Order: sequence, then C-alpha cells, then structure tokens
Amino acid sequence: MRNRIKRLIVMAALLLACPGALLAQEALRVELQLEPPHLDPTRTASGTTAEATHLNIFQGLTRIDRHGEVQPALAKAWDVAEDGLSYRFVLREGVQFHDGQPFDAEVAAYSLRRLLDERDENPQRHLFQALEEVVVLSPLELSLTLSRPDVLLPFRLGLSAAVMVHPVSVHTNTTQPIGTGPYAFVAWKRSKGVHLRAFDGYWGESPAIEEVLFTFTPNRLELESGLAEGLIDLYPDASSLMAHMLFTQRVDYVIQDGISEGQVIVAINHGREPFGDRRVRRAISHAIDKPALLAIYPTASPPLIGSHFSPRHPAYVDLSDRYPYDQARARALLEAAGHGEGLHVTIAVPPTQYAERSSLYIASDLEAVGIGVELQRITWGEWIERVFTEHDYDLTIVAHVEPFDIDIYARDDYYFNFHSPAFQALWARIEAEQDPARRNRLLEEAQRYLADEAVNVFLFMKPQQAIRKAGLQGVWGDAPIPAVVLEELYWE
Amino acid sequence: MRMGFGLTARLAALTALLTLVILGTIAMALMSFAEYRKELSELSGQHTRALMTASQLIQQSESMVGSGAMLLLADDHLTRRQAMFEINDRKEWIGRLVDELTDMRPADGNFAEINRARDQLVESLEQLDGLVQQRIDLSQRLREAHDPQGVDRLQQIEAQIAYLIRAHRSLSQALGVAVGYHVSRIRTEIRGSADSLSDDIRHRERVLKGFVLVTLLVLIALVLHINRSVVQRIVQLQKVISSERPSPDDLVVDGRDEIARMTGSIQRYVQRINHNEERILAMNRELDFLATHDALTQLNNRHYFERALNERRSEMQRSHYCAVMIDIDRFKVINDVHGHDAGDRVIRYVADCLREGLPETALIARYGGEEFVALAFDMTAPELESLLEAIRQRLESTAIDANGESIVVTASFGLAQKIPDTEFQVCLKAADEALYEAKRQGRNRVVTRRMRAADLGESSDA
Repeated sequence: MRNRIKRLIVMAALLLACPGALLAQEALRVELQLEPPHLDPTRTASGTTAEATHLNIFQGLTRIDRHGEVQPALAKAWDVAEDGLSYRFVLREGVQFHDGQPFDAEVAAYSLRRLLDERDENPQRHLFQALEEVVVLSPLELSLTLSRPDVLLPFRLGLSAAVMVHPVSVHTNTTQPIGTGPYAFVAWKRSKGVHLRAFDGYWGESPAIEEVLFTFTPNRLELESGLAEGLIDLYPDASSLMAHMLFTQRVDYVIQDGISEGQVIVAINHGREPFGDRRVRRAISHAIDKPALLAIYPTASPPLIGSHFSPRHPAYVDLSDRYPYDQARARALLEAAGHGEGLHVTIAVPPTQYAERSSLYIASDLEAVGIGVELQRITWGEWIERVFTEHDYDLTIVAHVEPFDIDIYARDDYYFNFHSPAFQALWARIEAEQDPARRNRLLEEAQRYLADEAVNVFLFMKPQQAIRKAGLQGVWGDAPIPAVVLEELYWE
Repeated sequence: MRMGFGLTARLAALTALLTLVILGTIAMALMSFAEYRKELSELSGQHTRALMTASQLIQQSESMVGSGAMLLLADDHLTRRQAMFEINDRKEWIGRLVDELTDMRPADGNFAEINRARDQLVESLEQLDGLVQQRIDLSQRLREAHDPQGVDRLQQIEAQIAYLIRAHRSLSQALGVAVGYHVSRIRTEIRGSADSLSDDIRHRERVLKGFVLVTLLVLIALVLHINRSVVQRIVQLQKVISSERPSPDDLVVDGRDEIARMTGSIQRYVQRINHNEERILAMNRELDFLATHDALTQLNNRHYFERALNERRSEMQRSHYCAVMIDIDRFKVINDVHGHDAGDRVIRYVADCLREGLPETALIARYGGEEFVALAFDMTAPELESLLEAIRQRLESTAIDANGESIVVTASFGLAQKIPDTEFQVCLKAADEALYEAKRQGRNRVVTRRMRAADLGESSDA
C-alpha cells in the first residue's frame, strides 16, 4: 500500500515535470543530402562533413563570415611581421572542448603540426605549404613561421581542414567529434542523421536553437516529399530541385538566392584511356551544350565558366566560350583521335541534384556526337571511395566547393590523374610571387592553361539557393565556404 | 486513567481517510491522464509513422505506374533516362520504406512480398527501358532514311512493349495488394488501439465516478459523525447547563471521549454547586434562628418578640389578646448560692414550664435575664390566669435538681388584657405593673390588672 502511494506521488511529480520535457524534443532539421563519409573535417575533402561540423562542432583559430571575410575565432587577435614571414596569434581564454579538455596554445600547436604532417592525410595540407614552424610562446600565444609570405594564411586558418582538435579526442573525431564549437555531438545514426545539441560550456554566446538534426536524403523523391510535408526546416542547396517552382508558391517556405565558390565540372580521369588524349577531352568540351544545361536551374542563372576559377576573384578570365557547343567539331576531334567509329564512357553520377540532372543532358549531348554513355548512379560514400580515393572512373560530375582551389591541378595525387610539370612549375611561380598584380597575371595564365588543356569540362558556378522555413532567420545567403552556421540561426 | 479512542483521534482518522480518498481520486485521474497521453503519443507517434510510411509506400507503388508511363512515352534518351532515374529512385525509396516498416512492425512479416513485387515490376520496367531505347534509336534512324525492315522491327518492338505493359499492370496490382495488406493491418491495429483506449477511458471514468461517490459518502459520514458526536452533545449540554437549576442527573456522560470527559467535569461542578448552596441555606436558617431565639431556652428573644409585634400591629388592633410578664423570684440568690449553671438550669426549667403550660398559639419570649413575656391571643384574662396559676403551682411543687441539690423556685406573674384602642406597648406596660404588684404582694403569685373605667374613658375621650 505504502509503495503504491509512493509510486502515485512519483507519478504525479513526473506528470507535472512532463510538459517541459515534451516541448524540448523539437529539433531543427537541416537537410544536407550527402551522407558524410565521417565527421572529421581534417580527414576528408567531402564538403558535407564540413557543412555539418565546421563552425558548429569544430572551430579554427580564425573563421570566415557570411561575406567571405576573415574574423577572429579561437584566436582573438593576430599580427604579422613586416617581412610577412611570421604571425603571432593571441588565443581566447577559457575555451574548452566538449569533453571538458581545455584549449590552449599547446593544443593549437598540436592541431597545426598535425595539419602539416604528411602521414596525416589532411585534404588541404597543400594550402599550408608555406608554414614552416609552429612555436608556443605562452599558454595563450602562438607564433607561426613561414618560408614565404602568405597574406591568405588567416583566411586559410578559417577553413574546415584547419580546425582545432585535441590530442585526447583526435582519434575518435571521425565517429565522435569533439571540438570547441557552440554545438556538441550527440549521435549519428545511419539513415537517421547527425544529432547536435547546444554546448553548455561554450565560450561564446549560447545559440538560439537548442537541438539540430542534420539529415542526409540522397533520393530526390524522398527529399521533395520531406519538403512537401514540411519536415525539413532548412535545405541549403535546393537549386536544382525539380519541384523547386512548386515551393516558391508555399507560404511556409522561403527560397533565398546566393552564390557559392563551387565550380561544377565534368571531371575527367586522365589516367584512363582515351582521356589522356587532349583531342578527346576537347571533343567532350565541344559536345556539351553548357547554356542549355542551365535548364536544370529553373530560377537561377549561374555564371558559366571555362576554367577552374571563380568569377569573383580579381584575376578571373572569362573562358566560358573557349569550347563553344559544336557537335561537328566534337565529331571531327574524335575522328582525329581515332574514335570516329564511336566511344563508350561511363559517367559516375553522385547523388546530388545538380549532378543527377545535368548528367541526363550531358549523356544526351555526348550520345549526339557518337559517344555511348552509361550513367552510373552511385552513393556519396561510393563516390568518395571509388572516384576520389581510388580514381576508378571515366567521367564524373561534381562541384568543387572549396574556395580558391586551383592548386589541386598541381597535385600529382589528385583524382583527376592530371600530371603536368608545366602547370606545377606555373603554380610554384604563383606561390612564390609576392606582387599581387604579377601574381594575378600568373593566375590568369594558369586558368588559360587549364582551359587549353581541357583538363576537365568546366561548366558553371554552383548557385546556392537555400530553401528554408519562413520563420527561420540567419541563413547564409552566399556560401563563401561550405558551412551551415547553426549558431547564427534563430526562429522569428 | 485509560484514555479512550478520543474525538480528536477519530476526527483525525476520518479526515485522513477523506484526504486519502480525495488524493486517491486525484492520483487516479492523473494516472489515467498519463496513460492516455502515453497511449495517444503511441497512437500518434508509432502508428501514425507506420501509417505514413505505408501510405508513402502505396503512393510510391502507384507512382511507379506513372513513371512507367513516362518511360513509355519517352521519345528521346534524356526523357527515358529521367524516367529510369525516377523509377530507380522509387525502387530505392520503396526498399527503404519497407525497411522502416519492417523495423516498426517486425511482427507483421510478409514484407519480402513487397520487395519481390517491386523487383519484378522494376525488372519489367528495365525491360521496357531496353525496348524504349531501341524504339527511340530506330525511330531516329527511320527519320533519317527509309527502311522497310526497320518499320517491321519497330512494329515488333511496339508489340513487345504492349505485351510488357499488360504484364506490368498485373505486377503493379500485385505490388499494390502486397502493400495494401499492411495498410489494412495497420488501420485495423489503429482502430483496435483507439477502441481499447476508449474502453479503457470508459472503465477509468466509472472507477473515477466510484471514487467521487466514495469521497462524497465519506464526507457525509464525516459531517454526520461530527453532528452526532460533537454538535448535538454540545447543544444538549448547553441546554442542561442553561436551565435554572441544572441537575447532575440530566447530564448524560456517554463514552470516554473529550466531550464525555468535559460533561463529567461539568456534572461534578454542578453537584458541588448544588451541595454548597444547600449548606449556605442551612447556615442561613441557623443564623436566622439564632437571631430570633434565645440560645439558652430556645424561646424567642426580646428582639424577635418586639419585631413580631410590630409586624402584627394592624392585625393586633383588630384582635383580642392578653400580655403576661413573668419574673423568677429571688433569682440572684439562686445564682449566688448554687452558681450560674444552676441558674441556667432554673431559667431553662421555667421556660419549659411556660412553653408547656401556655397554648401553642401564644407568643413567648425571654425578655431579660430572669424575665419572660407572653402574649396569648383570643383568650380571656380569667382563662389565661387559671393557666398561669397552674404553671405557678407546678413550679412551686417541683424541685429542680442542681448539682445534687434540690432547688424549688417560684415565679411572679403580671397579667393584663388588651386595653381597647391602645398600642400593645400599653398592654405590656400594664402587665409589667401587675408583675410589680405581684412582687410587692410577696412574690409567687399571679396578679391580674383589672380593667379600669379610665381605660375605657381614655379611649372614648380619644
């Protein structure tokens, strides 16, 4: 009897406490489409890992804001020596990791040394080649020594590959990421998404949104259905949705236009015959009707490009018409290369909307000049593994979202299998050049070189059209870096 | 004293019982709410999710037909591929939906049937894709150059396509049936849950009503009990106490509770008050007697005698009376010779003789040390005189024993009858004069004052 009464009292108390618990369960759902291979941005070039974790779980010494400008982050200030060869960073006090480990200059030095370590395959290590030495000056002071001046260093330190990690948790960051950001990792269930919750011990202002769920729905139909049912609060890359137009009619959703730093290309595997032959590559470039391809964007007209370079950069050269749509020339070039009787290619299509939709047009275009096409739809994981890592593909369609990454063409190990001593020499000169004007001229030269070689088919800059719930504010308009900055979101 | 099962304890127990019943009712209601909430959230959560998934499954199965139509109608490879993309998206999604449903409803089984139907359908659609591809290519060729063989081939392809479409219909029906089975099961289950929830609610309602009834009954019992065991008894008590002469026997002491103990106290208090009152009355009577009587002889004293005569003044003016003054002869000698005790004895003896010798209606009082007075009503002087003579002779002939010695006492009597139209003092004075005459004549005799003409004349003069 007494036990029963006790139970009743406990139950009554629970009931009174319940409404609060029920209210707290609504999490913001952000759709990213591509399931990340893992959650450590210092270990993968996959932009989706950066989108989910960068500036949310992980933070760098600096950060890049929505306008592409560098801002202080874990370093509250820095200065550069007159010769440009050394930087001194002053770190923020009282910063801790989600597991309670403190952040200090030793941890920062560890993270940067790890970034530079060749054995640790950081996808953006090449951006930090000028960095020679990292010295801890005091618990909150760090000195970086460069082999040559690099004005972009603070910007680069704000990229997702340069985030701060702790030696204690670094080895489990792929599945259990622990950083210093405003959100702590809760769980990652395959096909359910990545669950984050606001971190109590965050050094900055507490974010307005307590819980967030990143979901990854590769299937277009499912995605459109999820949006139609209003289950998705934010989908940052809605540009090529077929049902796009329908959502402009919905009062509960807002579509906002923006641009990204992502070049959409048909990447060509130079290591596989016959793509080592420049005539074949040029034939492919001529065969694709790029202006017609933009039909995949019902409400945006992103700029066409002709090389791997952003039109927003001062050194940009418009080469978009370098290979005009010309089926006859394409056939002639194929003929000349000995493939007059026909050629068969496979296009690896990752599950992004722009890739899927443009692959249909590209396949028809190629078939129109006598190239047989097989569209091979693969998951993002397969793309990372087979295409990006194992270089096992003919052609693929992908966006390179990292800003200013033309240097990838100087990399021998990159998945294009493009090995050009000439371009590597050119890149070395660009890196060594201190004068901005001369440097820009060299960059123009680099763009022309890549276009002339038809290294890949350079299609257009990926538009960044986000679809969001009408009440959700703070979504970035443009995407200067791949990131969904949850900290800045709030409900109106 | 052993404390009984007190009122406080009983009331506390009843209040506790009432509180318990009320709390029980509330807890019961709360518990029911919690259970409904749980059931409802299960209904809305799990079942709705299952139903949603199943509906999506149906929708996708049906949309397969649409995608098939799109494939059928494709006249270029872009549209054809687009249709195949869509078909494969649907296939994949159906697979995932089936997985979800399997997760949600592992007991249902039979999900393989859906996947089998789906795979057959997709396989058929892939065949269709191949035929459509051929058709597109052939049509293209026919547009460029006339080819009678090609036309035949195109007709063959169309026939094959038509055959596939028919097969297709039954396949998609099979898929629809396989999915429909689960939808109907889920629907039945939801209805079952809703029914059992509603039954449960009804049951809880009844129990709750029962609780409310019990609460009311306990409340009524509590009120009745308080009325019977407290209010009525206090009213009764108040009634008894407020009567003019509360009798302890009217105070009923039932039980051993606080009110019974209080009643007992009041009863004892009333008893004590009544007892004290009686004592005070007795004392008053005694004091009254002492104030009006002579302690030695128990006769009225002079003070009472005079007051009584004053009170009867008007009555005495109308009636006839005689006054007698009596004095013991040579009393001082007796006192001196035999002592005060002997004197007292003599006075008591004379008083006794007077009381016994005079009529009961006569007013007799000790008037002074050895002097007595008597007033006899409605008697003539000769009648009274003979009575007095008898008393005188009894005194004279009887010896009084005083400390072993015999004393014979005599007394002198002065008698006067009412002198008309005068106050009784006049009569007393006349009797006193007669006594003086008796003393002067040698004591031990009765002298009656004779009526004189002056007595009457005085009165007629007046």
